[in-house]
Amino acid sequence: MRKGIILIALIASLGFYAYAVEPADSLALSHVLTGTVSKGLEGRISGLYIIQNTGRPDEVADVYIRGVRTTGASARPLVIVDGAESELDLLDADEIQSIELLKDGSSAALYGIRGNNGVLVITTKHGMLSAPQVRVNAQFGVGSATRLPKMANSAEWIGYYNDLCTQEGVATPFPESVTQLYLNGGDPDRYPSVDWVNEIYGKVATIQKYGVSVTGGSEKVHYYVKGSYYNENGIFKAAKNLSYDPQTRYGRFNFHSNVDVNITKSLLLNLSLGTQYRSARGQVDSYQALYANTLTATPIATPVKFSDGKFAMPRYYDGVNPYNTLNAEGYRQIAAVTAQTRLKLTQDFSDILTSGLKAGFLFSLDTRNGNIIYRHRNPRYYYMDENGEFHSQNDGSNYMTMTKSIDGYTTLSIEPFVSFDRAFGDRHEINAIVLANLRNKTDNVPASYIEAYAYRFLTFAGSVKYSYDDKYWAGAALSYSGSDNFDAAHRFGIYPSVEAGANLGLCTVRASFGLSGSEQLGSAARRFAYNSTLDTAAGSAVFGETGRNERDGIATACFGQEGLAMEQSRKVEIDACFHLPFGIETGIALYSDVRSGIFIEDRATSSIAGKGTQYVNLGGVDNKGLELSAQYARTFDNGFELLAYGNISYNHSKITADGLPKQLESYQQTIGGSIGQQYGLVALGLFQSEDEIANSPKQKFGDVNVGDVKYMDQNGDNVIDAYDIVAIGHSNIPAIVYGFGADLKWKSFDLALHFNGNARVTRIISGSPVVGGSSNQLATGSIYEDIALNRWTPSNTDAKYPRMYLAGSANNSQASTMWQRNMSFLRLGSIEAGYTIGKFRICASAINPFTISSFKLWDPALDCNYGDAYPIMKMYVLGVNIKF
Amino acid sequence: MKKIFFLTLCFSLAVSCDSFLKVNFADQPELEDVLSHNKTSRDFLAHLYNYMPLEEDMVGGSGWVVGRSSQALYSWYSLGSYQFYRADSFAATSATESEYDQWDYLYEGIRQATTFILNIDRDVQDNEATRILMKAEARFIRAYCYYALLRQYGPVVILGDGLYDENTVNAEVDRNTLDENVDWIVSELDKASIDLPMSMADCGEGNIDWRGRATKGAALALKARILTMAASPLYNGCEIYKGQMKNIKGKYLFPQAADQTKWERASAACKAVIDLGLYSLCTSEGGDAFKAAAEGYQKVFFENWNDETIWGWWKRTYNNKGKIIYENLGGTGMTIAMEVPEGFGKYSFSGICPSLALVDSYAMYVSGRYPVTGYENDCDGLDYSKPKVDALSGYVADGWTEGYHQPVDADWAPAIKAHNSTIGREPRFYAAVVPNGFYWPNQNLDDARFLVGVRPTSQHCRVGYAWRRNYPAGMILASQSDYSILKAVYPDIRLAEIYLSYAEALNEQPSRDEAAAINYLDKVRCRAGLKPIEIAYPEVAGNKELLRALIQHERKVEFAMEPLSWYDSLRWMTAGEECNAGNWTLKCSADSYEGSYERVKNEFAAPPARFTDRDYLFPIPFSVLTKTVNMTQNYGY
Repeated sequence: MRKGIILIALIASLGFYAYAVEPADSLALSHVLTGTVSKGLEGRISGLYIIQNTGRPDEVADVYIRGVRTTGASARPLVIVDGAESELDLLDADEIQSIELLKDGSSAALYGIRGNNGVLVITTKHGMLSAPQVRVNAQFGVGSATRLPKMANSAEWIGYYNDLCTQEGVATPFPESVTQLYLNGGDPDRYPSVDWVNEIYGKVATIQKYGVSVTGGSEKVHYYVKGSYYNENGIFKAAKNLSYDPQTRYGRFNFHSNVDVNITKSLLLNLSLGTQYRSARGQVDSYQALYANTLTATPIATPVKFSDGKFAMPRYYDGVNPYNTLNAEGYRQIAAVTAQTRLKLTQDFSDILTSGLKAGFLFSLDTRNGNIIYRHRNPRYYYMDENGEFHSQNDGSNYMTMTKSIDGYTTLSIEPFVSFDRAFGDRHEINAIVLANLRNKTDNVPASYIEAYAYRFLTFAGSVKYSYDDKYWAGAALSYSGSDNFDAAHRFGIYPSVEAGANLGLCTVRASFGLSGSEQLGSAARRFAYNSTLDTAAGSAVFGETGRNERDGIATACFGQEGLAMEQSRKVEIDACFHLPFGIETGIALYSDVRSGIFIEDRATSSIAGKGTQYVNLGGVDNKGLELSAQYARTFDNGFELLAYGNISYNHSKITADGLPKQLESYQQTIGGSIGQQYGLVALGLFQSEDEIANSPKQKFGDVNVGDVKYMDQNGDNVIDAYDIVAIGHSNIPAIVYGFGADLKWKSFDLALHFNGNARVTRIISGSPVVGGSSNQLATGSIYEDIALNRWTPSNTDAKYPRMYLAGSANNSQASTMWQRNMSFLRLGSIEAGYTIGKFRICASAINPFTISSFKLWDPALDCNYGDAYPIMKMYVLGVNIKF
Repeated sequence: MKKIFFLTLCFSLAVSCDSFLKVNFADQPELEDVLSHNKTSRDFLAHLYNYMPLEEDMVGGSGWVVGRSSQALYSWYSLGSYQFYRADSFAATSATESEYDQWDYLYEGIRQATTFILNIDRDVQDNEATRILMKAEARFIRAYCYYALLRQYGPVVILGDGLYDENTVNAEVDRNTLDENVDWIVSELDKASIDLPMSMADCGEGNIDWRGRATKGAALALKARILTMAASPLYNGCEIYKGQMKNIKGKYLFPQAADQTKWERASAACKAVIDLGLYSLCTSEGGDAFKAAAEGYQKVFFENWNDETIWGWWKRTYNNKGKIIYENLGGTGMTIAMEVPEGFGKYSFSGICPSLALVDSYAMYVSGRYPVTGYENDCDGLDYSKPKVDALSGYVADGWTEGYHQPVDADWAPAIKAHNSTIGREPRFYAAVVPNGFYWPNQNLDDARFLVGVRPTSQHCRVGYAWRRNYPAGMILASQSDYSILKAVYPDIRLAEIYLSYAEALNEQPSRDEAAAINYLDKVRCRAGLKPIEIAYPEVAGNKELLRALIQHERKVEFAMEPLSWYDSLRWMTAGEECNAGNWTLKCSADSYEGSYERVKNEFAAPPARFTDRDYLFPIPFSVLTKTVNMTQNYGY
């Protein structure tokens, strides 16, 4: 039977890198038809945090190991593919043999300063001694959004707008006769009524994937070759009759080849080649604009298009027409070619020098060349006045212009190593390795003078482990690791680690301790933070009688920080694995990860220094966490096979230093809070009377009326202001993630279910469709239906939402518990049913078919303020697998 | 063999590892190097001029204060922080998020200027005289940055001649007092004025045209402006700051008692500028006296580097800090686009209109008297539908005149039926305001008549009057390129201001000189075609208060919709009176032209303007207070 994704293999694998790891079986991964590998890993492996911020086909998910554990520039793990640093989402899921997570202080030791946030070690498939085996996979699916925003329709919106006008006694409400003109649709050019969400988002997106692999091998040569094609089309209702296609699309060809050659009996050569050709298409200007415009354009702002085919645009100065954003303004075409080469030569000296000694090197060369072509069109837009006459809004033209951008990198690394693995007698075993890693990455299209410098790392590392009778073991590792980001005195760090473990029969335990560092300094422009820079393209100035004497500007830019060093991490971990009766395996990991010297924005130097944003080594975070996992695997006598699994991970971060001076109000210290902790006012409800306002602390954010949000006075000064902002809720990165599921097989039938979810995650929603518009309401004042219907009005005083205003309300739109929402959810991530007949297996699957969450306005996973993101998709897929 | 190879490799790596990671910055631009070459040191200096506030940008730049004043109504009332400030609902946290928060930017300018002053002596490719000159320019710019902070936030932390001391203890940082601020800025300007040339033609820069760099006149004029400000009521012992705002050293930020001798410093500073003898008011000769007066006033804006401009710069493009459309129209083009009524130019939409208060403030031509002396009050403050009319002025608030010909820039326009309130006004009125029913001064248009139509869905600013002061008559604005080629000089400090400041100081100082005060006031009135004040207002003789009011009124008209006018309202503390009112407009929704001159306050959908005592100063942003927690916040925030 297939092995499940989750194996409680904390201890099972004693390979060098493989402590506290959880290999994932590749076949199960390929269940999930997603554009990127990361999206399919949600809830699959304990300790792996997958944050899927958007459903956009070409977007990758955010990946963290054990959550976000640093306030520094990057909390992302190192991703190693076949021995060298790479990117997770370059791969096709089918190419992956195993995924291992190196989480603790000792397992990642060999990666030096790059392994501070954990390491994701991916091994691709290799050939084996066999006749050629061919596998063909084909999948085709259709998808739609898990949840689309529901905005107030024309009637509701006009009612809402009229209410606001009447309430404020300014601006003119729509008279009933005019309202009817909008609603009856008789003259859509002059009196439009548009459901924008329905105009922009279609019902069906398509997704397909095809793959062929051939694997096999002889005595001397093993091979694995694979090619696949993935394609996903966007959910938008794109116009069909244009000279170009404005639909969002994503396509990818992946090729991978692994060849292992035994040159001599003791000399092994591995050559791994991966190439990806990716293309994507989307809106020319910004993706965000389309999502935002769709939710802000009012139903009556403008027709989609005029009946005579003219492009429409509201007459208001900040009006938008989402149809034009999608269809009229051109498109961008993205193409990227990436290639990874790994050449590994291993000489076994067992017969030459001493048994178990090997030496060799791994050479890797990765490149990327990407380009984006922007084909921009600026058509003439019209509005229609009250007399039915057209007026143009802009000059406009019909032709398209073209601009482009390119990017790329070349990474070269060399890793020589010597290893020694030998058993002495029956019970004693030694494993040791020393290696050096030298890495040089060049940005092929650097954006600045500083970014043109190569990014360089150098690591020397070694480890040794002794084990007795496969029951007790102890090991130690040391790395000396450096980066070019620091001055000579701070360039290298020395990082030791130790571990010990014992297999006690029912239970295996292991403890480890390790130090590590990180050299991440944030934006590329702030590399070499010890170095002061000048901006030679600072603002220029114009002089002269006729204003023709323009001088370039030069100014100081960043100021070098002396004594800047690497972020430090101290990790302690205890793991235990219980081998219970009936084949139940459970694992528990307890850890602490103490970070110090994190490179953060200087929050102490006053702005009167005039230095702009500076960075210092002052951050600190204490992390404590817990992982639990369990698995039950059994094959019954009647041939029924069952694998059930579950895992849950919790990381609690506590900021111990942030460089901010002591605040006047102690509760405003960010120290003690967790990373990403949200801050805001505590809403006590809505003001119900003028008396209540008069008798409450004065709220100093803006006008306060009956129906507005009432806040809590934290410091008792009878004034509500910035000093009443406190920590509320959590972060928008969940502290807890979990997953569970089951694989079942009986005779020719198989079924796999996988659930994933998260908890302790909140978001403060904002933006005009949520808190009410403050700009031109007629043009961009669209509002969620839930808010239009459930806001405070004189007749609905016990309301869910506060009073709305034509020009917005500074008081009501403050970040507060009024707008904070619990964004946790539980999802059926995938379900697949298959039937095997001979060489064929046919299957049907669903991805994200349902989601449970208390938040209803949009999919809680979206990283957005008011639903303005590409929706998360649910997919229904049919597939066939052929093996011969 | 292989073992030896690997050992050698590892060894050589170990030896070279440091050099592998060592980055060679030898070729990057370094401060010392840049400031020791004459080309690059000038580029550094040129950048310093960027820190001059964007006074010319009335929406997104520091010129936004025009919209906060009682002189204008903006379409952008809804622009977040702008609206909150105008409605007195601004907080220290809003300041942090506000595009109007200049704190960080100006202190950055101060650091850049100080860096330049401390290092420019390296530039041995220039001779010493040039280095001294450039240093004085940087000093002037730095002083201007402090002035810009001072007028917005009140007194700030003075860093002096050196760079910020890195060992400063945050908890001990607090603002200097107003007097310390003023004294330091003035002493800097004194130093700069010694070294700056009379005009940039004297600066020894060869034949390169350097107009727009600081001069002696600029430094002295800025000094005069600051000293006038410091002597004014808000900054000179006002009631609201009594016992308020004490800094960490126990000193009150604002003087606790008035010192009228400060006016003497101010008048001396004004006189020093006048005595340079370099500047004269813009005038136009010959022809019709009325038209000539209007032309003279128009030259201030339309004639680049005119003799009246003491300090100015080429209008700049929007700096992208806030949210504004048409950013590709250029600095000059954008100001115009925002003012020209919808349909009279591409992109134009009357986003900025003069308020009824401003329209009412222009004098009557024949009598030389200001028609409106005040307003009745309603629930929101001033009631612009109930002006108190000066009977002697000759102003008629109601009724119509047939066959009226527009006096300025509209010889080609047919006679119209004009509302009586719009006729018989002074030349500056017609040079700046286009009332409903008048012709927009562009005969190239098919139909140039400015009529506010019935547009229930348009939120363009519909006051009933359009603003044309920045628009040169007849300019064609048919396409984007018509805007983008426009260039104009923004006259930041001009002689008229110095004259009026001088008149004000002479009237206020203990050794009052009424005759001289009137003389300088009349110079400005005379250029505008108005009768001397002592003829228009014979009762002014011996009446200090009346003369003060008349000087203030004259300044408001002369600097209509210029940022200076707002800072005047603050220093005189008249903003509290002027800026509490509903949004009064003409009745633009009227069915007929005749019905449109009714004054109403429900057509412009914005919260009423509100001004309380705290609004004289901008709050110190909360982001600043989180670092220097003991810094004194302004009164009322």
